[in-house]
Amino acid sequence: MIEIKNLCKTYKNGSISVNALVEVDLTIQEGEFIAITGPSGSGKSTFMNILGCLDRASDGLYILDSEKIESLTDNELADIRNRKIGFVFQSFNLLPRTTALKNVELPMLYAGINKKERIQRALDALTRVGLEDRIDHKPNELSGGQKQRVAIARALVNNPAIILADEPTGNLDSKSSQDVMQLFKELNNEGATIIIVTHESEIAEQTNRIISFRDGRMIEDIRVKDPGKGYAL
Amino acid sequence: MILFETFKIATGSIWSNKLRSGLTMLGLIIGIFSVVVITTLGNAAQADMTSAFHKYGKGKLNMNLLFNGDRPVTYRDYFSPEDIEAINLQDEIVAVSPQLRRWMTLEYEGKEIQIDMMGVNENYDQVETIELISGRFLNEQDIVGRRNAIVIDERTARSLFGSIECVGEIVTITNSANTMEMIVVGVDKMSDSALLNMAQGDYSYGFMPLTVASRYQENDRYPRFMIQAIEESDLNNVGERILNLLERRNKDREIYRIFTRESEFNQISTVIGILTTIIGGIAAISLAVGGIGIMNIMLVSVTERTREIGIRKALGARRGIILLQFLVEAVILSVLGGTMGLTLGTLTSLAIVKAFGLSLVISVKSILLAFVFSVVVGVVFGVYPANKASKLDPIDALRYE
Repeated sequence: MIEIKNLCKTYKNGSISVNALVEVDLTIQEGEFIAITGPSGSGKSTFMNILGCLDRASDGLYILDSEKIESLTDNELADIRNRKIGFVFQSFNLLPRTTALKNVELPMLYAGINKKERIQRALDALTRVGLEDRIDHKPNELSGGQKQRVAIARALVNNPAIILADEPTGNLDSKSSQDVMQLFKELNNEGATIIIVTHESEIAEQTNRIISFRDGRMIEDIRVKDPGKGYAL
Repeated sequence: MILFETFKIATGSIWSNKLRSGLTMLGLIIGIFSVVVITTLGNAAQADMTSAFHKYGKGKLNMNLLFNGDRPVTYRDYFSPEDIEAINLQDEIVAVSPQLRRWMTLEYEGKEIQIDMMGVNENYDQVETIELISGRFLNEQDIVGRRNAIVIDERTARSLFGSIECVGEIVTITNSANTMEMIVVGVDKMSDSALLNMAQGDYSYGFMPLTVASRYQENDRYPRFMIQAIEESDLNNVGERILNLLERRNKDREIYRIFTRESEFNQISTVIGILTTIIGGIAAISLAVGGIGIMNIMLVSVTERTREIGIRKALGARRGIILLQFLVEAVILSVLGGTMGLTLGTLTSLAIVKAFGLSLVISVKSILLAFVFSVVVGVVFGVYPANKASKLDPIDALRYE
């Protein structure tokens, strides 16, 4: 349901051009569990920003869930982010001084959903991630792992086409990292399409498909036969 | 709906930073407070003047001799009793009285005050607005019989006798060589106008019969008189006709001067108006300062919440909604500040006005104007920061520390 053809991204800094992404071709089906890897400067972050509709490609085709993304206006892109994409960030990015419940409600607020339904769906999402007894806690009252789970609940709440996670375990200890990866696996088994950008091989190995970037190009696209069994990169 | 939620987000943000929000609003509060107090006091003063004019000024005209004019004054120029009678017979004239005016010293049981004594006829209480709180005014018998009767003002009565019940008391009035013993027959009430009373200060005045005062005049005529015209008359017209009459009686109109209370009141009114406008204008400058304060704080707020704006945009907030969120916050600050300034200003005006004995005129129009103005200040000074917020790039914003 994601089709990418000949995607390019070029940054111009005065007279200097930087090719962040060059001729990327990729197809992603519904229900896939994907890791995007690569060293710093490989273009994986740029690719993720374009996938997440936070940035626009300089050239090429991007079709998400039957929508041609290149031709959309800024407001339409915002709507796509709201409805079709669930973000999970390395540094959680929850609203401070705001309860978990209200944080999870936020995407639904921008979708124009009424209060009663918002609260119900937020409760359901928080229960799904195992935080039903923390709904009134503010971020400063939650552990790292709990914060990330709130972020995942927030990402789920508008039933997005894809969940995009940028180094989701980067700020977590190993136990919390495992909890989060376990949650992703469960969600994927339930049908969610999950794309994780990571530079950690232990995380990438737990997915079904590893796509590698280097110098702006996609250099590898490997389907893992036995996830979690240690595919060395 | 989203507007209500935006409103809640904005109020939540203001409330969570109470001290900062309070300090931001302070500029606007002071600004609106000053403007409200100045204009309310100005209006109260004008209202006092207007009602004072209606009571004490309408239709009144004085005419007197120009002693330092082009030529010296001669006997013929003075107003004779027959001239006065002729004027009295004019249409539009309700009453006329000559005035013989002199500063004298009034003495009672060792206490001395300077008093502005006026010799007048028995019709004077129809010419000037006299309200007696004690006794009576001079009557025909006093004038004809040359009685040593005087009417004094309330302030003088209280300061000399301690009360207004002083009818029958004997006082002495002195002027250079002349000393007379006078009996008090009446007390004139203080004016209703707080401003006039303030302006008069310790001024004392009194009335005695024309016939008694003229004993000490050089001749048997009068240098000055006052008329009361009917309500709707045009005083310029009335003055003209009196001059024409005097000319017909072989007098030189160039030697006379006319005063109307109306023009005096108008002058004062104009001055009050100008003062109000100038001071009000200066106060309005502080409004601009208040608005700038709001803009300043909103800019800081936007910078502080860069990350938050990035998160909201990533989750699907459109540019417009971010703009609205910050604009609403600015408007709430300015409206709150404006309302507080308005309330404080009105209460303070009430206190000041009561202290001076004026009456308060609260116009709904002014209140509405102040309110609308607060909203405008919030929008004008909030739109730039709000626009800045809405234009933030989400990727950069999310990376902001």
